[in-house]
Amino acid sequence: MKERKIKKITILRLIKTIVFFSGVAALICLFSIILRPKDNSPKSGILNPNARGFYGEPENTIDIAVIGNSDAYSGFSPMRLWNEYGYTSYVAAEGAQNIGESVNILKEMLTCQSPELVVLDVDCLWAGEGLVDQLEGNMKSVMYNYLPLYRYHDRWKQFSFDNMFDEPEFNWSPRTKGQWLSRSVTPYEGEDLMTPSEEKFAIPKANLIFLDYFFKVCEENEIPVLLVALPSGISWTYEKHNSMTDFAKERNLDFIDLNVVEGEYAIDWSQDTRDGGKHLNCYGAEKVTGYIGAYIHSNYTIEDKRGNEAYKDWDVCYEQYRKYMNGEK
Amino acid sequence: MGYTSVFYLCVFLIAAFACYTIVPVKHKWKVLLIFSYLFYFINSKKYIVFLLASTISVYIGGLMFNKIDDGFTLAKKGLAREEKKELKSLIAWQKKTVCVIVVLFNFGMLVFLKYFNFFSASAEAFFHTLHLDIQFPMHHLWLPLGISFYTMSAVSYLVDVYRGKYRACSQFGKVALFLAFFPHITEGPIGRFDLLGDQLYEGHSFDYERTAFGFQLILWGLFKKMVLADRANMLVKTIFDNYKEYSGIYVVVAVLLYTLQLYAEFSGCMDIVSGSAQLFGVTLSENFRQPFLSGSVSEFWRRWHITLGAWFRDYVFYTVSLSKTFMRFSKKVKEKLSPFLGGLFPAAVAMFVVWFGTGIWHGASWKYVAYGLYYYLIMLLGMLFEPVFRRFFEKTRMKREGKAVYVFRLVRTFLLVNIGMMLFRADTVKSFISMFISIFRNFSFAPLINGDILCVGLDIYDFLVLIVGVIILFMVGLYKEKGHDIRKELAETNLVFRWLVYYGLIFAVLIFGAYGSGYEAAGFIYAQF
Repeated sequence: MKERKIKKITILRLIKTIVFFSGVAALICLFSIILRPKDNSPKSGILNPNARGFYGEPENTIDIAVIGNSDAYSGFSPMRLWNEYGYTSYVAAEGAQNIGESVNILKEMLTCQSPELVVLDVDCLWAGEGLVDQLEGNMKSVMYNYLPLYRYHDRWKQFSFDNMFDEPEFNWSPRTKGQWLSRSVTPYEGEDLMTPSEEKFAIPKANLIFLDYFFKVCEENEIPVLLVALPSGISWTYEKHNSMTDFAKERNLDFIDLNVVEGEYAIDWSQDTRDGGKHLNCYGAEKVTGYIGAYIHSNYTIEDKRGNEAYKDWDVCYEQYRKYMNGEK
Repeated sequence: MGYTSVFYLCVFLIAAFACYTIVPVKHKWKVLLIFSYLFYFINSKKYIVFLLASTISVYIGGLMFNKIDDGFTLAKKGLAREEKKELKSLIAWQKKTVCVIVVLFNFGMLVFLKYFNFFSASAEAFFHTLHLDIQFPMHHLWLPLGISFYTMSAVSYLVDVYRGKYRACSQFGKVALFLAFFPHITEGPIGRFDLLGDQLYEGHSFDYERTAFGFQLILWGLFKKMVLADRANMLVKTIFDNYKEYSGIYVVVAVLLYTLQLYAEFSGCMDIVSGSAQLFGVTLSENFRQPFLSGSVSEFWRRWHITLGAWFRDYVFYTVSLSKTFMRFSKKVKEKLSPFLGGLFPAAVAMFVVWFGTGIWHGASWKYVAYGLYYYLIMLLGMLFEPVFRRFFEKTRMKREGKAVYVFRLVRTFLLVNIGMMLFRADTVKSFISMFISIFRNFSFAPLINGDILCVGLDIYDFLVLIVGVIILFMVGLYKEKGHDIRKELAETNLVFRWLVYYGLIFAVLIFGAYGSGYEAAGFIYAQF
C-alpha cells in the first residue's frame, strides 16, 4: 500500500516536472520570437549589425565570406578586392569572436548567400584563457545559436506590442561591406612578437572541436576554406604561426600568414595601425587585401563581376570608399 | 569557473549532482571529494598543492592531539595528584606547541602568498620616505583560489580539536572534503567541521523537495547577481574608475549602487552555493541575515558575512580578551582606575586585533586596513559614549527601543555602512577621501531630474529594473525577518501561483539579466579574497 503511494507520488512529480520544464521551453520559444530583432539595422538591437549586413545584400551575390574577430573587420577591405579583381566579399567579423561564433555567423550567412570561398582569420582559434574559458565561450555560442532569447534578451528595452510577432525584415547593409574604416594612425612601439623560433603554441583542443565543425559546414556546402593570420602587433606570435603552419600542412589546407609577409605588402607598424598595434587601419587593410586578393586570384576561380549590371551598386560603394581613402570625406 | 558561468551551472554542477545521485550512499562522499578537487584543479592548476599542504597539516596536527590526549588518559592512571598535574601541564605544553606550529604553517602560507609583496612594497615605500633606496624581494606567485577561506576553516578545525570541542577526524578524505567542498571553497561561508563534517560524509539519497529547494535558491541567487549586481556594476565602474570627473549626487548614487551591488552579489553568491550544497543534502551556514535592518554597525556585522565575524569572535576576540595576561591587566585597571575602563580595556584591545585582522583579511592593501579600523573606531566610540547615551535616554525619557529611535538608528547605520562601502570600493584611501569630499562639491539633485544621471552607464530601463529589484529584495528580506520560510511556504501554495512565481523568477533572470553582448561580465568581488 505504502509502496503504491510512493510510486504514485513519484509518477505525479515526474509528470509535474516534465510539464513545468515544457512550460519553460514554450515560454523561451515565445520570448525568442517576441524579442528577436525585427530588422538588421544598427538600431534594431541585432548583434553586431555591421557583421550581419550580408542579410541586406541581394541573395547569393557574395563570392567571398571573410570571418573572424576584430582583426578581420579592421584588416580586410572588400572594396579594394572589388576594384582590383571584381570579387564581391563581405566581412562577417565580430569583436572577440570565438570559433563557435564563427560557425554561427557562417551558418547565418549561408541562409542567404552562397559564397565560393570562405576566408577564416585564425586568430580566433586562440580565444579564451584555459580549457574552461574556451568551453564556456563556445557553449555560449551554441546557446546563442539555439536560444535566440539568450542572445537578444536585452531587446526588452525596445519591446513594442505593435510589432512583437512581426516577421523580421533583414534588408540593411553597410556600404563598407563589413569593414571598419579608420584613417587613424597610432604606431605600435612594442616588442616584435614575430622573431623566428622553434616553439609552438598549439590550437586549444576546445576550439579545435569547433574548427572541425566549421570545416564540416563548409564541406557540406562545398566551399573551400582559406586560412589567414591577419597582422596583429600584440596577439599573433611566431609560436602560433608554427602551430598553424603544421596544422594546415597536416590537413592539406591553404594558409597565409600576413605577419611574415615581406616587400610591398609588409605591414609598417608605424603607419598601418589605428590603435598601437591591436588593429590595422584602412592603409594596412589595403596591403592585406592586396596580398590576399593576389593569392585568391592565382589559386581559386572566381568570376570577375566588374561591368556586370547586377553589381552596379558595388561601383557606387567603391566610389565612396575611394573618396574616403583620399580624404575627400 | 565562476558560480554563474554556464559551464558551472549546466555542466559541472549537473554532472556532480548526477554522479552523486546514482552512486551508492557509502561512496557519495567520494564523488563530492573528486568533484571538489576537480573544481579546484580546473580553477587553480598547480596551486592545488597549497590546499593539499593545508589539509595534510591540520589532519596530522589533529591526529597528534588525539595521540597526546590518548597517551595522557593512559599515563594518568595510577599517578599521584601532583604527578598528574605535572603531566597535564607537560601535555598542555605539547599540544600548544603542535597547535602553534600548524597554525603558523597555515597562516604562513596565507601571509606569504597574499601579503608578502604588500609588506615588501610598504617597506620599500617607507624607506623611500627616509631617502633610502632599499629593494625588497617580491614573488610572482598567484593567490590560490579561496586561500583566505579554507585557511580559516583549517585553523578553526585545528583549534577546535585543540580546545577539545571534538576529537580529530581519523579519515583524511573527510578532512580533505571539509576543506575543499566546491560550493564553499571560493567565497565561503567559512565552514566549521562540527557542523559540516558529518553532513558531507554521510551521503544523502535523492530527495525531490530538497532538490527543488536547492534549485530555487540557486535561481534566487542568480537573480540577485545577474539582474541587480551586474547591472549596478555598470554605473559603479564608470564613476569609481573616473572618480575625478564626478562629484555630488553622481558619487552618492555610485556609492548607493555599490552597496547594492556588493550585497546582491555576495548574498546572491551565498544563495547559489548554498543551493548547490543543498542538492547534495548539505546545509551551509547562514552568511547574511537582512544586514540593512541593523540598528548599529556591530549588529550589521553580526548580520553581514556572519561566518567571518563568528570566526574572528571565536578564534581571535576570545583568545585575546580571555587570555590570562589581559584578565590580570583588566583586574588591575578595574581596581586602580574604574570598573568601566577595566571592562572596556581588554575588549578595546581585542577588538583592535579583530578589526585590523578583518580589514587586512579582505586584501593586501592599506585601504582594507583602514576599512577595518573605520568600523573599529565607530564601535569603540559607541562603547566609550555608552554611559552618555544611557544618561541621555534616562533624562529625556525616550524609549531606547521605540520606533522613532529604531528608524533613526537604521538610517544612521545605513549611512555609516555606505561610507564604509565607499572606502572598500575606492582604489586607495586617498581616492576615498577625494571622493568623499567631492560629494559636497556642486551637490545638486538636478542630474536626477534632468536625466543626466542616465549618461553614466545605466539607462532609464536599467534604473527601473534596479528599483523594482530592490523593492523585491526588501520585501523578501522583511518577510524573512519576521521568521517566515519563503520556500517552504511557497511550496504549500496552490500550483498556479507557485509556478507563476517560479516562471517569473526564471524569466526575470533570462530577460533582465545583465549578461551577453553589451555587458561586461563582472567576477565575484569576494572570490578575489
